Amino acid sequence: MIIDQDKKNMRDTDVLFALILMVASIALIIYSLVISFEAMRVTDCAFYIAPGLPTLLIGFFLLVSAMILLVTARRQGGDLRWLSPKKFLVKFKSKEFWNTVIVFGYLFLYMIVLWERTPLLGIHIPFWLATFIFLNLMMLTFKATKFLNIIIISGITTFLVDFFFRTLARIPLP
Amino acid sequence: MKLRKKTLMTFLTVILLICVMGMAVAAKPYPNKNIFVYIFSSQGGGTDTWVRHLSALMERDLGVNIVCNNLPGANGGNGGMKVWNAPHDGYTVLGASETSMFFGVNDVAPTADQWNFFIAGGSPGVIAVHAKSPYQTIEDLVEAARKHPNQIKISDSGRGKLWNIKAIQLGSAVGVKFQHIPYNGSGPAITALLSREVDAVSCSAGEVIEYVRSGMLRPLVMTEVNGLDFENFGYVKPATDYYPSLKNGYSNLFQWLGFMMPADVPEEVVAAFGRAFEKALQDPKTDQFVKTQSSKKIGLWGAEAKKLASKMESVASWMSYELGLAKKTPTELGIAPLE
Amino acid sequence: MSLLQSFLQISSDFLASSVSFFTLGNLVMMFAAVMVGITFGVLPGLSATIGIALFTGLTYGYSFEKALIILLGVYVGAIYGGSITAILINIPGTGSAAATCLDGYPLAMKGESSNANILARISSFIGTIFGMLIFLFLTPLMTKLALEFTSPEIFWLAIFGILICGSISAPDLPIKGWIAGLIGLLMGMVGQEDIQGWERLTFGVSNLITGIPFVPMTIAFFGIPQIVKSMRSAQFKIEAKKDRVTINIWSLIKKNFFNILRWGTIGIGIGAVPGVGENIAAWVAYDDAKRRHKRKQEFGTGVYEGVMAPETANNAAIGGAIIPLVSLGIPGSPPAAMLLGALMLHGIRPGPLLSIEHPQIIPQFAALLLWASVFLFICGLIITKPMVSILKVSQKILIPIIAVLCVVGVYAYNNNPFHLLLVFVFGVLGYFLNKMEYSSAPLILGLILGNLADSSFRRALFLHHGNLWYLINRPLSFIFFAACVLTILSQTKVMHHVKKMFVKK
Repeated sequence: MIIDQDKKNMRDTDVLFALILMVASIALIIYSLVISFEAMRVTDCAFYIAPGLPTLLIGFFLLVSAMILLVTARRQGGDLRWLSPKKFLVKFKSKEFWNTVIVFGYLFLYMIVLWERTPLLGIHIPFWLATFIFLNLMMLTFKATKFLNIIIISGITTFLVDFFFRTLARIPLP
Repeated sequence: MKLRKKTLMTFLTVILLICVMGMAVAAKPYPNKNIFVYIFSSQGGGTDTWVRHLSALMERDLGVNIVCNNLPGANGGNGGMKVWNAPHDGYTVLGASETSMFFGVNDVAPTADQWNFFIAGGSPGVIAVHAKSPYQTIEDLVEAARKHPNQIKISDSGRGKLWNIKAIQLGSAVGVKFQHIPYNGSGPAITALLSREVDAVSCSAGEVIEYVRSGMLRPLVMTEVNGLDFENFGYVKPATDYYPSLKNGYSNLFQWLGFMMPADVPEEVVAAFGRAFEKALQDPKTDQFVKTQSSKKIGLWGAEAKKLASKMESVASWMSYELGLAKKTPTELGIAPLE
Repeated sequence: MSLLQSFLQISSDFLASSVSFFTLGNLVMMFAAVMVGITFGVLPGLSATIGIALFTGLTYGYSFEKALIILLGVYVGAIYGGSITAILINIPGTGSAAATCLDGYPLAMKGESSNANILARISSFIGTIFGMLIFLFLTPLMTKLALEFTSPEIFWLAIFGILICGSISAPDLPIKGWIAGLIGLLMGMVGQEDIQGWERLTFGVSNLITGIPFVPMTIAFFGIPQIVKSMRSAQFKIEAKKDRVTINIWSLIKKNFFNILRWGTIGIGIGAVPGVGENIAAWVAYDDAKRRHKRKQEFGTGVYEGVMAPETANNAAIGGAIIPLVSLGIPGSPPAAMLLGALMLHGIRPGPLLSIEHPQIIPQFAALLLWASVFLFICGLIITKPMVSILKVSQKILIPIIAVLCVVGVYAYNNNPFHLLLVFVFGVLGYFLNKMEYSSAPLILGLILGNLADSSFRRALFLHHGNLWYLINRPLSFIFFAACVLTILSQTKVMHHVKKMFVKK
């Protein structure tokens, strides 16, 4: 039987994800029971209105679904042998992987580090500066256009966004 | 490499610019720039409507823009902490209600002794039934609950919220057990009564006034120490007339809406804000507003408001503790029980 | 006889209001309001609710009539505007447009962005008009119906929605649709629950007490994966060649005439049920379109009906949502709740007597809705052309700008920086789920429905002391229950056998 590589990769990850889901749903079931009995003890309520009932049901169905996923993926040739350092090295070398990491990294920098009072830098960076830096970094890294154009585009965008949201829509941007 | 040099230069210029702009703020008396009000509940609610109304009037008096924004969540704690973490200079104000009395026990923001209060007004509480309901007086309802404990259903805006506590106080004062059905806000709680899913509702008079006027609902009793005249219905007696033991609980816990500022805001700032607040309350537009809201003005700020708040916080905190909802016990917070 | 009389009375009042609206000042104001509304809808994170909240403050000094023109214009514009972003960049501008992504974006990818846009616009227009007509003539009836929705009915409605989760199946394995739906439901469970006031799955984070907000999550699950995907591998491109309308719209409308009526009815019905709103209406209509379509399996790859259904329903829900607002003072959706606050600021207290004491108010609202939908059509025409041409700009420039708009939108939603952290974390999760071919659609639907299903279920049991019989003993609840059972059966083999038996006869 011929299975194409993409599908094989998909089933491999499915196996891993199914296992993670199963562990998570078992933890969820235990958690639901704990909070339900805690709530029943404190507020003296019946089980049918305990806060853990719906999460218990979700946990149960999630467990069943994860099992089905595991069985299906196994039948279609998924396994966990791909979790070897060698295969990871190949992945690390691919450009796509690094691009993904960089985009997430910039988003993290913009959304978490530069926004509001930054816990890491300890100083307050105004919104427009953070936006300006983010736009420049993103466009420079991916070589969107000429350097000067990038600065101009970033500047105009920053100004427009700041003007629209802060001045027109009266949103208190940091 | 050229690229890097250019980038560096740009950023340096930009940073220099900020510094210059930062120094340009002149020192004029309060208020010399826009005031930000964070409303700790979502758009369209009672707190939101009141705060936006008052802000619009105070804006003219103070001569600066008052920008209202909603920051709901965490039982009001999100808005509370936003204001608390901002500079305590009176330019960041909290739009709040009596829910802030639970800040301490819910462990979301500082307790009442750390705040200044500007209590504008509120709507009195009421217990109402459907027009087709067999219960004509509050005594009928209590009698029914005595005969069938845990069967008479009273809807409210959520467990541990003001109207829930008012209904519980009533039940425990007369020694009967109602079944308290929580809804996600007063609107759904009233809707549940209109569709006769429940037997009665505990909410504010302002929220049921239109249904009473149209004859769809019948108010039984005010969950307050004072009665209220309903249009198209007549006078409704307070619960304390029937059950005097409720006096202490009810007189110290009622709905209020208004503003809050941290307690260590400079005095002259508090005074300037307070004067504008008072003027806004005396405006004829406010009279009209209070009438459509079917509320009453309270109009307290300064020491009086603080005294009231600390009393109310005590009642609210201990009640929340008894319901098993408190994350921090009142004793831990140093809140003594009233009496 | 009196029925006919009241019908004529309402019609003439409506015509009078519509005509008296026709002044230059009003027209300009409405045009501006709809334009602003569309802008709010287009920008991710800014929604109809925020738009109305903002303009409630800004129009405080205006007369009631003028304020109402602006607020309704913003409302109608914003609900439509979300579809433009959904179609062009696969990021729903408002929550109610999330269902439009599913078929709108594939259409744009195929080079039919103009087709998709005009369909969305016409559907929104028809939806608004349809909602307006029902609002104008059937308000008393709809009010009665809305009051029939007690906890069991809302519970079954939510369950119905959850079953839909599964049927919007994933492209890879059907089970993945269910898993995504369950993850969404679980996310809906986070926060303080309504019945006991107990905190679930918050792990001591006070910002999670109100739960995981739905609007930022649409950005996390649609926006972030899209941004990362297009930055990663330069594959984001709208085919600009066939940038003209290439379909016969009239024949499409004629063909789907009864479908449009049904989607509109779904929108109005769900819009009128207090506390449910236009987001769910769009999903239910999408599912309905898919179920009844001849080429079911092609849904999700760019089917015209997949754009028409949610857009008709979410705009029809506007008329639906203001029915209980005007007749009872109970808002049917979050933007309508904001509208209620605005009315009260102008000294008008909606309630059962409003339409008796001010008989003009329903025709007035309806006339404004009519004009708003006309302007929706015009403004949409003006705004989509430049929007499409913006997309011709190199995506390496465009995507960072979209990223900024998404991030600001998340912050603007509630001014809460914590939501940025939340969106980042779930954006990473969303990216991986997307890569493993779990569809975001059932996840978002699960998130919307989670808390509603949970609280109405346990409240219904609480009301009747745990007796399950009361969940199905009322006519409407039984109908919804039966609909749920049929949905389940139709997806298993049982129904198939039953059908076969009939065919043999």
